[in-house]
Amino acid sequence: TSSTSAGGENKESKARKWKIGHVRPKGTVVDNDVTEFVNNVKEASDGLIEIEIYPSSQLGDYNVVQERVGMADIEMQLAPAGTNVDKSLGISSAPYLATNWDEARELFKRDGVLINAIEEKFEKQGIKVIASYPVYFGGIALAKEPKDPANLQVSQNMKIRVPGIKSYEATAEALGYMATPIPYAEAFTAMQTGIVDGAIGSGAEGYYSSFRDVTKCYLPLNDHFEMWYLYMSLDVWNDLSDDEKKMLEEIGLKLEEKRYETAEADQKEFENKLKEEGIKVIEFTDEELANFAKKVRETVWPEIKDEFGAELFDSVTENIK
Amino acid sequence: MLTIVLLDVILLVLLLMLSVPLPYCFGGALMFMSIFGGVSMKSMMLWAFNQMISPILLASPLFVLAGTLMGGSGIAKRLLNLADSFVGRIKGGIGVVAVATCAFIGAISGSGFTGVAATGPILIPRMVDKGYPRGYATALVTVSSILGLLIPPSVIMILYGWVTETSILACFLSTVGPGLAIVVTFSIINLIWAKKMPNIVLEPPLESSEKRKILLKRMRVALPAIAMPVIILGGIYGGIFTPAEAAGVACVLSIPVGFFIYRELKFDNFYKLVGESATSVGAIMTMIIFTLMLSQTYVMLRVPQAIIEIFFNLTDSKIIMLIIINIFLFFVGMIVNDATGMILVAPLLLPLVTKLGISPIHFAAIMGVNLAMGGVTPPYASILYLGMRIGKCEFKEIVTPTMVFLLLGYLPVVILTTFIPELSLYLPRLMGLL
Amino acid sequence: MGPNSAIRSIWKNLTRLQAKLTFIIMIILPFMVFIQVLLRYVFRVPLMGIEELMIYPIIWLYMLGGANASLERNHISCGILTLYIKRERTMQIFNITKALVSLGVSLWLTYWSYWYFLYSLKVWKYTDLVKVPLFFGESALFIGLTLMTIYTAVELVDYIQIFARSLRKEKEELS
Ligand code: NA
Ligand code: NA
Repeated sequence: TSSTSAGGENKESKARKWKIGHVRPKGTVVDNDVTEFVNNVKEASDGLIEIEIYPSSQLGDYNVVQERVGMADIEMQLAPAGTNVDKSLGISSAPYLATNWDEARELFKRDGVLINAIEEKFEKQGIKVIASYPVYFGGIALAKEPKDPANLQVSQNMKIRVPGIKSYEATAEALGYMATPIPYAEAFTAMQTGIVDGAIGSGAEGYYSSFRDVTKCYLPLNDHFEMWYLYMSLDVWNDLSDDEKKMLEEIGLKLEEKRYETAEADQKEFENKLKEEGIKVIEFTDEELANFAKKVRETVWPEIKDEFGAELFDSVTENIK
Repeated sequence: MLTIVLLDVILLVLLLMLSVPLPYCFGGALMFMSIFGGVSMKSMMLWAFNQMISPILLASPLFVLAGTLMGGSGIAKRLLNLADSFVGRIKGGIGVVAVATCAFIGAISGSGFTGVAATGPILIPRMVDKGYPRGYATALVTVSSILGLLIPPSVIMILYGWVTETSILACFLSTVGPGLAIVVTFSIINLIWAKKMPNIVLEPPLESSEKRKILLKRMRVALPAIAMPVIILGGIYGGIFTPAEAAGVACVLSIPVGFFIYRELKFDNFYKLVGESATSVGAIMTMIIFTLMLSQTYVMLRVPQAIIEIFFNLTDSKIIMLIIINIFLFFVGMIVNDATGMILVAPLLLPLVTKLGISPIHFAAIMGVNLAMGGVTPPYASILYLGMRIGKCEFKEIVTPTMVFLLLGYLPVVILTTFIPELSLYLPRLMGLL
Repeated sequence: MGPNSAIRSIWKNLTRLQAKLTFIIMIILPFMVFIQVLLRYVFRVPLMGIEELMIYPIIWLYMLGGANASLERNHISCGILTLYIKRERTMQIFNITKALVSLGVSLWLTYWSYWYFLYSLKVWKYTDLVKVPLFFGESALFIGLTLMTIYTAVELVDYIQIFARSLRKEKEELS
């Protein structure tokens, strides 16, 4: 089956074998979604496009795999936006851009300012974004109970592990914690022995799967919205027939839509799973959550916005108060 | 595709036998996989760079330096003199000290390298001085070093917990029993073997008053030295620093002790020791870069998946299945490193073994003991190679004692772990994690 | 001073510089770790970014250390075959083969590290916090492998010379 297009660039549909990497273990919700995507593509392409799944970051840290996709060594990935090549992609997980699911949906809507900018940035790296994939609102996991977690006037006097990214460092400090860099792989034992008292940068799901044995208390602060992207090598994309492109985009949209429908419930489920483990999940009132957001927006945003491009950041946050 | 992998492994063994330097043995096998297996090399260096700068890998180089400096500064000598007051009159005593020290180091570090990196520069020369063959001393410290992966914390158990959604704490505890069993078997083998060694030097027999006098003197002299392990252990368990940081702290502290207290360090030998450590680190790390890249080509070609498809539809018998799993894991350990093996294989095998009625925690222990052994089974045997480097020992000297310890001391524990679930389940049950 | 002795003196200075650099890098690393522990535990102001800065000494340590091992012909190897080689001539040919294989592999690896070197130069990435160009770390692979290749080539030339010398000697003895 070949397709013809008006531009005269006739690309053919042909048998292709791709690799897709993602950052969660086999059998998780994410893995199941990727599997469904892969199956849909195979079916819609009459078995021509076969994609092999590499879960658990088997192909490397997502930042590295992003570069590998840019080189067309690996065809696809579903992961957070890596900032190795372009720091401004960090805007995707900037703190308190959204505080609830409706806001998040509006913020990351297709053809919105933010998504258009992100797609453009990816394209500069030789990457074509197929769909966005909302994951969760983040929070803080602690190995002991905080004194007064909702009170921003007092320092919590606790060290928490932060990823080596400016916005998390500033956010942790603004929320009253001491930002401490520890390699991710050592975070579990560091929380166990007390080098740090907790961690920021993940959400209920991440803490449940890797830190539940050392967590006493979970604070769903909604500090950042975790958005991932399903993307592929631009070279590979450009080699596709128009039909294939259309098909991939449709299946990608389906994945995105479905994920928006399930993500919130999914997050709740993992908060419940944390509770089942005997972990205290603190329930903040809307007012308290608004206070966190206000504080971080006032103190952290001015510090980090240059990194994302002040102009873009201002236009993204224009309507947020 | 499996034919290519098989040829690749044969090529690797051939290069090893040609005594080509290790980085080029693995580099050559990588070249083969890239050319004939069709794995693109474009992003491979980028991938390897990011693996290499991981702070987790940094622990071994720092421990190599720490071990060397503690040796050169006279700290280790005082500590071992003190230990000799207790075990110096027993044939094989220092061998047991070596095993126990590695188990101890295992309790602070999560990797299989640390034991040999930290204690090798100290214990191997000491054992050689006391009349143990160099190959034997190196082999003993090297095989004991894999206790680092069995006594918690353990990097591979964290990975297992993550990829299989099992409690990491329970996984940690599951390998404690097998780990302690290995301490026992290694110690026994060592005691028996040492009896037959002709050149072993023992402490002279003394009257008890004399003994006490020497002990007190050695204790006094060793006081600043004793501070080192106290600081390291206290620091790690007191939540002050991570194991890798502990190595850094040990390096820094041993400098003043060596220069000013024991006065065994002079700038000249300090320069030489640091330089030698750096070369050792370079020799081992340039090898590891290419082993990692080689592993990644196997990952990209889904080699373990292909092997599993062939072997695991053969039988329904639980016992035969378990034996096949052990053999399979042994081969996985031969060709890839422990962490890669864990991430790749655990999620593939777990559904198979749960069907056999094996609990995920029991399976954690089975995978743990098998993959930990991979570090010392050639051709991919990075811990063994590090041991050879640190012990200044050749392959032909180390290979026989290593095989004896593995066959008579380690393998029985693998079998026990596989067929007696209680060995790994007792502690997790005791702690209410089952 | 002839060209030969000039080369020799450059060689000597370069290798000495390499040894000094490795020493400095090796000794800096534990101090960086130590300072971070002090800052975090004693002063309670951990510096974000020390981990990032450590990338540079780490990778240079590995690659220069590897180059040192090549220079000293001191890489780890598992020669089992050497046990069975008794004749000097066989050993010489064996050594040449070994060095030739090493050189071939080393050249191929160096080629790919050069590819990566160019990529790194083109993309010009920065670290997340301290914003130091990553190129200064990534280039270590190419430079380290180039040094290793050079030293392996010199080793090969040495083996060939030894072999040639022994051939010549044999001829002289015959005539
Ligand atoms: Na351990
Ligand atoms: Na092995």
